Amino acid sequence: MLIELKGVNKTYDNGQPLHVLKGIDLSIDKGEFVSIMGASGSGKSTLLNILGILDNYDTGEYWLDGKLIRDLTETQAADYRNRMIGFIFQSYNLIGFKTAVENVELPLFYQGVSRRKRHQMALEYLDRLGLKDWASHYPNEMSGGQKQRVAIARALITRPRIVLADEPTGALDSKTSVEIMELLQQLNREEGMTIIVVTHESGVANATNKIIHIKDGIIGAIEENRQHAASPFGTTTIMK
Amino acid sequence: MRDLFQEIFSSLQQNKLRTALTGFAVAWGIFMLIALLGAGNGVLNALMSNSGTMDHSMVVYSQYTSKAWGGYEKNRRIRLDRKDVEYLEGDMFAENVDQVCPVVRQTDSLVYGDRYLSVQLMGLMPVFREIQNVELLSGRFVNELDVKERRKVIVLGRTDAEQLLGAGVDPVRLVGQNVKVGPFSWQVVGIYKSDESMGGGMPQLYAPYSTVSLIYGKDNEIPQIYFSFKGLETEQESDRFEASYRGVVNGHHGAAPDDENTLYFWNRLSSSQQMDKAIRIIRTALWILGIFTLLSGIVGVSNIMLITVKERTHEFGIRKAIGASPASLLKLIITESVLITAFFGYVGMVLGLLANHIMDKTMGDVPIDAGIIQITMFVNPTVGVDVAVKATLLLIVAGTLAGLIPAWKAAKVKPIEALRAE
Repeated sequence: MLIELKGVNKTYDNGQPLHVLKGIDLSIDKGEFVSIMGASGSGKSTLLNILGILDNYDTGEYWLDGKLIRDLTETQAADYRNRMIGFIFQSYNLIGFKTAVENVELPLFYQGVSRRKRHQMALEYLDRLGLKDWASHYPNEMSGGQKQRVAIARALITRPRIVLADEPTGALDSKTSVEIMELLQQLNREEGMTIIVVTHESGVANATNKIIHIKDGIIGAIEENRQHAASPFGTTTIMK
Repeated sequence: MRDLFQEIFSSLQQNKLRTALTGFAVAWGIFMLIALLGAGNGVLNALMSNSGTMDHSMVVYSQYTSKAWGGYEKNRRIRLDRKDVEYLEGDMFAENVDQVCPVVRQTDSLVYGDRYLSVQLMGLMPVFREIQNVELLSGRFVNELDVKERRKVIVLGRTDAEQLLGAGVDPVRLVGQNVKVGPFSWQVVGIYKSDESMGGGMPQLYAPYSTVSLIYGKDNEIPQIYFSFKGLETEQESDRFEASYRGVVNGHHGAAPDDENTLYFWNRLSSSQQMDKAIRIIRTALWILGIFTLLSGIVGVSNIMLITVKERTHEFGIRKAIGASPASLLKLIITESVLITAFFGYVGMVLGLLANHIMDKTMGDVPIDAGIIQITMFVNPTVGVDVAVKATLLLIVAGTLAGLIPAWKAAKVKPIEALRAE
């Protein structure tokens, strides 16, 4: 198993303790395309943050690619994030004063890859996502869909073990949302990339092969979705 | 390294206003510091040059007794004589006294052609020149033969000679000419460099002691004794010396041994000691002001650093999410702040040195006429480049240290919290 969670608990303590994750057991295999669905406050984002080593958990075990992710120093965590995880965010999280290609290069910069090589690789990835002509544009000169594709290129450039997407279509219109989900499907199908998407939109979840329903901090149901028939609005649209 | 600089350059370009503000705080701090220290140094140098050359001469003036003693009433005039000079020259004070010169003064008028001056004729010995460091511009000083033969020769101050000759005439031309002082004709044998900054009212003419004493019927009285001394470094030492000489003189003239009013000592050393004290106070004040100026610069830098770090929290969150280690963020922030402070510190330093240069050119060495005295307000109002560089380095180091805390906090904050920040 690529990802293995055993009885993971997480409590936020902002004045009043809030038990967000109440014992999560979950395993995700290599090459899976999974969505985590739930209402807001269900704990799905917290779960994703723990999977992405952006946040720590209180009790339980989290194994990522055979390594126990626990009590890491910030530097170790940064290194794991850099090498094993690619992030796609709802708000893109591109750095505004950097061009598209510079944004894509950034993870390689932190790996110490030489300028020339990382620039070349970044251009390659942008080309694959159809953004070659936009390489030297700044984020505020691009549309939402283009920005998200830049972010996807940035997530992929380090060849991570998993890609974590937090509401990747949350800020996009329905047409672009479909395009982005198709792109992720293609990545999973053609390159065997393990992708975990957090969403509250059934259309987005329907694009994935497995839907994990989370409710009040526990996993409610795990639904196989090979036929992509989970959405009431059909298989090829995302209802906004 | 090039990557780091490129990172910093693009973030600075992005935040032009912030960069400009930080730069201004730094440049202004250094500029003010250097301008202030320069002006202060100008005042100090002027004070020191106005106080004249540090010489080791003292003048003894005879005064009145303040106590009745040995059958005499008090308020009796003490008349110093040859014997009192010999005491000073003798073995008794050989340890402290170098050269001794009796001086007699007489006020009279000096006439040359249709011009005249009220002057003070000083009858003195050739050794006076060494005691007072008289600088001759032309001709010669009073010599032994003048004294022995009671010649009517005088040495004139340069400004006085200029006044006699009128503007634009070289005062040296007066050497060898005859001028009238009182009823007699005197020959000008030399011109000395008069010390403007000392002020001092009436022009002083130097003439042989014997001549002045004879012409004005001074009867070999010695109202003043000039002498050069050695070894009297502290106030206590000179007090002790003065007391013991006074004791000898009092004994010779039948005054009470402990009568302190018989002699008055004018001592350039003690007045220069007071000057030293004033200079020390000004210097301390300057340093305190300077340190506070620097401090305000440092506060400016760390303040902007704080804002910078706060503003960029979200960006740092993104960087952390994609793999930036705390150390690499810390390096980024600190290098950026060092670069900014170094660059603008350098600009401020250059401007400050330039301001000093302008002060030097416009106000330096320009005497201000304060009536009877001419005072130079600024002499060489500059700061050494080493001091300027040190101050700039200090600001960079201190600014960085001050920025380290917010930078450290930013590097430590959890990525999830940083990403949430807007």
